[in-house]
Amino acid sequence: MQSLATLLDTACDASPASEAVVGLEARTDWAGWLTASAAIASRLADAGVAPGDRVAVACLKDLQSYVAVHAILRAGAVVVPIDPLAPAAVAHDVLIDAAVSAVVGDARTIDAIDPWNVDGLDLRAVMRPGASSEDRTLDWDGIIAGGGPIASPADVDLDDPAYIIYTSGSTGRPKGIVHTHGSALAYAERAVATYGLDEHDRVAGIPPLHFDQSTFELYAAPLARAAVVAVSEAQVRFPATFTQWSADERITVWYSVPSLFRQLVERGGLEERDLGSLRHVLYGGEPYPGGALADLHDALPHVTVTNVYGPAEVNECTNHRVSFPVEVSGETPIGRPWHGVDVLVVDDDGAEAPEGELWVAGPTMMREYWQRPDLTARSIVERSGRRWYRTGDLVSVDDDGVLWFRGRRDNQIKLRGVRLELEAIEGVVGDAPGIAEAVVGPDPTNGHLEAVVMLRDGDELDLTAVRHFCAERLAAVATPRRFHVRDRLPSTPSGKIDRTSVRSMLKADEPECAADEDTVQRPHPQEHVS
Amino acid sequence: MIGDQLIAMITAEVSLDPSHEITLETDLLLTGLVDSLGVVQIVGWIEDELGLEVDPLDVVLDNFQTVGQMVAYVERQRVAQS
Repeated sequence: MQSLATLLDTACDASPASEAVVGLEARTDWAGWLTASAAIASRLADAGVAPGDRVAVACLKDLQSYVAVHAILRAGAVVVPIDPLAPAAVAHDVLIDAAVSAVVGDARTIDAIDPWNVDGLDLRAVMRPGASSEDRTLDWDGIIAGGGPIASPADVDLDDPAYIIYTSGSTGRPKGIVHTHGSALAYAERAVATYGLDEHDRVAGIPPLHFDQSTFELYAAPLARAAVVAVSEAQVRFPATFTQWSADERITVWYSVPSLFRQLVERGGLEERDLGSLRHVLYGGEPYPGGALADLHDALPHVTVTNVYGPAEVNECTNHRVSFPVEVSGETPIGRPWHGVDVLVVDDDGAEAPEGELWVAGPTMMREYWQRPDLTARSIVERSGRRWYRTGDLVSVDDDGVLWFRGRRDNQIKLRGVRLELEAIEGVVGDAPGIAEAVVGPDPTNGHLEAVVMLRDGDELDLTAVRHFCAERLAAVATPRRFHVRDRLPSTPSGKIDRTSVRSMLKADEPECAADEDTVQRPHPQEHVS
Repeated sequence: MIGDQLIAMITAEVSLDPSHEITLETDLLLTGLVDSLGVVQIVGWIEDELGLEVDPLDVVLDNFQTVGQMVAYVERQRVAQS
């Protein structure tokens, strides 16, 4: 039966010697991708990794990322991608929550996470390149070089878990979104059909594996036999390097967040690059302001641009092909649902309405939150015999049936495409040295977080200590860049801190809520960056 | 000299963990100390404080991965732009 575990076999049967993955220093064809994945899968099974076990992937983007993911699927195990640049404590929380039985990754990330020394894990295997023979860690390169017969992929059901994407929960406990072979294949089939992917395409592998946009390159590309070109974390930070790579590798499709594309337009030297091969830019994760979208079109007039919408729980569910010219001050709709997906717009009383919360039903929906029946029951509801995912996103429907994003029901925000739960970040910052209370919110002018804090009695703000504390516990995107100190914070009639009013002051960039203000800030540039 | 200034500025204003010691050889990207926002800050500092123009096409990994590489880039630009 077709599943994610058989994608490489199918592609390899059709064209074994066509280029399949371009890594930063090495490249391989479908036969090479399949052979390497099969070798790792067999070694995982030999080590005692059973179908259904969770296996973490902890690596920077490269050829290894793609081999690792398909090796785990081939073994019938569940892929758990780890953010390789997050603090080790964040990675450990995910390893423990998913109760992984193995970790595979690059040398740098495996060393940083040090999986053997994480308490509470029952590990069967850790694999990285360059492991020495005295170490119990297995040598990734040696396993692949050793080869051996290619075992058939594990027989999995479409309802079996395939991967778990973690997001920060509102309590700070990570929340795992469980997708199945069936939900991922349903996504991949629709993506191939909607964006016309075929074996002539070369897809940029921009998003990190723990970001669900990566399912496009991981599953849709192999289904279409399109090649994937890995994009390194460094290239993402240096637009001119990425655009050169894109031109050299004749990349045809980019999929990422608007903040990245804005950097490419501003600093990528696009006028110097031959991007004639590029045909489609897919963006998602956050709105793309009209003016910036117009700049993108001016720089790449031959390219089709599509706004892709969907929380990780449903992967993609609607899309909108942007028609140019766009209004500079205008918004772009999130579009209409794609094939087989239904949506409801529901008001506070649970009735269908022209504006309200978006509910989604369809085959690309997650199965559940990993071992969180309480959260699953709150987010997935039955109506008319179908399971609907309540997105928490507020939308409106226009007369043509096109959906427009209007905001959130809760305090979740998206920054550079990453979902952040403000309460969880406030919990961390509020525990930092000297800080009694913290309110965190985005500064819309520069796309990063700021914190308004109240200090403990008699304490002064030790900015270095606070930033060190945050850097050990929060991913970069979740780390506040400025700290505004206040003697007191406004409160609600019930005596709680009025977080909404503090955040709206941050939005207005005038966080004044006490006479004696003492703002400690890092200078920040005016340019918009990701 | 420029290296010391860059290290002081990056530690104080750019680094996500100011308690992490930075040397001329520290890989600023893979340590996670500098994200894309930080790269823009560093480029802005070179332009404002050193009075050099930085071509977007020069903002590449080979010139900005370590402070040592930034110093070498700045020295080359000083010669080229003088």
